[in-house]
Amino acid sequence: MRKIIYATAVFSALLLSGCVMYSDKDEEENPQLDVSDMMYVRYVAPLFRTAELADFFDRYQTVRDDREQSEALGAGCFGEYFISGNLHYEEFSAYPMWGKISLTDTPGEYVCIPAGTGLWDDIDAEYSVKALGGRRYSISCDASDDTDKEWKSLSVDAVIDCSSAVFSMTESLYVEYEEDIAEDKVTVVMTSPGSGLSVPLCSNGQVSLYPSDGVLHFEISGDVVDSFDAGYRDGNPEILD
Amino acid sequence: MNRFVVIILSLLLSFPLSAGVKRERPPFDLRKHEFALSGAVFPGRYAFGYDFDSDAAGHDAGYGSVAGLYDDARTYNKERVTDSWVLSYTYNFTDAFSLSAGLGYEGGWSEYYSRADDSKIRVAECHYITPMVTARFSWLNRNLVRMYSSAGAGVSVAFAKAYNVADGTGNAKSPQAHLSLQLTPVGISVGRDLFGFFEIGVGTVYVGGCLGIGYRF
Repeated sequence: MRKIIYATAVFSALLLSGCVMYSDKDEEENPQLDVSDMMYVRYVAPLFRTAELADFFDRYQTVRDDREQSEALGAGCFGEYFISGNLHYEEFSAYPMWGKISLTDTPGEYVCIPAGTGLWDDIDAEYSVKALGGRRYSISCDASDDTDKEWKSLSVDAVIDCSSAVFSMTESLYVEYEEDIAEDKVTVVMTSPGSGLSVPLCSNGQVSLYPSDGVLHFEISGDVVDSFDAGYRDGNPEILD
Repeated sequence: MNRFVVIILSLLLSFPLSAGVKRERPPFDLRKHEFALSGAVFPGRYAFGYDFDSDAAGHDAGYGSVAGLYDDARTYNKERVTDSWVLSYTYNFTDAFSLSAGLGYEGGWSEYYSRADDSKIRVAECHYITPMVTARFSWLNRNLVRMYSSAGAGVSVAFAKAYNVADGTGNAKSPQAHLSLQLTPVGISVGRDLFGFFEIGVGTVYVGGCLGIGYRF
């Protein structure tokens, strides 16, 4: 009987003490790396996908009367993701990584909706693309999740050069993101100083998410203030000192 | 070889003899009433992923925003639970069938601390009161040991609130009712009047194992 009472007392004490089920106290936090990754994936990587779409679609316009050559060009870029039924004079789409590009009334100018836009947040971004010649493309965007631009907004102005046929490189890059969430108003401006970012062009459907080289500068203001550089080498991002 | 055959034969012949002298098991002494208190380390609501009630937790910049990522980096989070407790009364209709009325409780706190000085900044908490009716089927009845299976259904009423520690500001959510179910494939109780029991089950009261003590009369 005494054993039962003793066991019961120990058991009750164990249960009554409660349990810590989760703690992230010992986790290392690096908000700069988290922010740079989130911002890059959402708002910078789509620019390179857009440039790849535009680079294909712009060249396609010159050979579009030759269906066989057009499809060979598409397959060379997008590999297994190229579906000939999605290739039309007016528009082309390749999912899940690129998106959709369409002609406008002005020759050499296109409209692109990158795949995944609006997926991670509510900004349905539509990018305007202008072929500058020599496989260089000007990409711009001014979008928000609502008409009043009170919650999230995105403004993009970039020139990407695909003339090497191997890499797409930023000649200039300016991405401004604003959020006003839970009473915290924050603005993030991303630029690519120096020689810019360099991302391998897609080939046979092979895509590089992160740049193989370059630096992305972050300037954060508002309720959060920070400034740092994210460096990329062979697809590995790191925060530079 | 012959000796081996003799041994087998003698064993076969001795079986009816030993069966004949087997002691009669005393009849099962059914007690009609039981009171019990049980506890489980892994509460069911927590196991199924309640998030301390996000509505009551109030505004949160979240992981999907820049402010949220910086805010998350400034703090660390600790989640504590009370374990799961049930106080029950059982009426044994027959050797095999019983009905229980129980009142369960589990609660939890999600606490945010400053990484700079370990001070507590924000707390979200949620408490569940669960009245439940359980049908129990005993498939082994001995005076010292009983084994059974059970299934229960009830309603959980959740009370949630969140507040900032510094100034006490925050918000509370009005009580919410949720369906509560508990399935116990195997349970064993050991003891006569005073008994201890262990159950293995899954549901919104607990997941895994549950230990308890009780008194029957």
